[in-house]
Amino acid sequence: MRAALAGPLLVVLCAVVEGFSQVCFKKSALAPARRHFWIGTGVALFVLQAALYTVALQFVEVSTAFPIGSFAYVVVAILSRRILDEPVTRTRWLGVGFVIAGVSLLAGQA
Amino acid sequence: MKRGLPAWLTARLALAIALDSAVQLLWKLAALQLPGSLSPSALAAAALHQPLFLLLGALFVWQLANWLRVLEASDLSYSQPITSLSFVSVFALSVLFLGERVDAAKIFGIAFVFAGVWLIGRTPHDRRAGAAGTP
Repeated sequence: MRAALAGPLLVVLCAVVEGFSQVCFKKSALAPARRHFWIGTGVALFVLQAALYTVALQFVEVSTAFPIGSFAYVVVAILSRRILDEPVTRTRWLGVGFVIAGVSLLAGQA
Repeated sequence: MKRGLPAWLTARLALAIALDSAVQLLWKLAALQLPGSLSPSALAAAALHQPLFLLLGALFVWQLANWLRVLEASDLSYSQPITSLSFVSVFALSVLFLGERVDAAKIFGIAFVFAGVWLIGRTPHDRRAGAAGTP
């Protein structure tokens, strides 16, 4: 895999792992009987995401990684809809779009 | 924020944003104090002896405990994007204390984040509560 692609792809992978980590944390609130399992899985995924992100930063600048990393908001919205059955409405999607644009502008020249 | 959001939940979300901002800034400071060109294992060992990393660990635990309380009373797709306000607070702190420059793109960035959070705040915060909101 070319180094130029490795960094951005790793950041995208981080966003996906972060999304699943957040779903586990939410699951811990929805299923008290398996609370510790979901929190443990969420923390493990969080640690994996932090490790991947550290590796990714060896290939890509922070100013590039932040906007790509904000893809996590999209992942969370999709997973919330598909796995948690949350009502991700058009207004919420629009809000997520504004947030991603804002984060990209804020971090774009970091 | 949408009317009807409990005060304690608003406070927890504000705490989540504050803790996220503190973690981001501390992480930067802590990383700067580590020696460069070390292997990952040597880097991890060096981090364990760095007081700032111990403080970071404590903040992570506090952040997780607070976040789990937030998720007990709100949708993940509602609360998670709201924490993006930490990007604004980190930027504001960087301008105040690190001399980061402000330009038009960053002003627009802040405006977009606020607009996004405002839009998300207009939707029901918890589907189980059955609260009315903008579709």
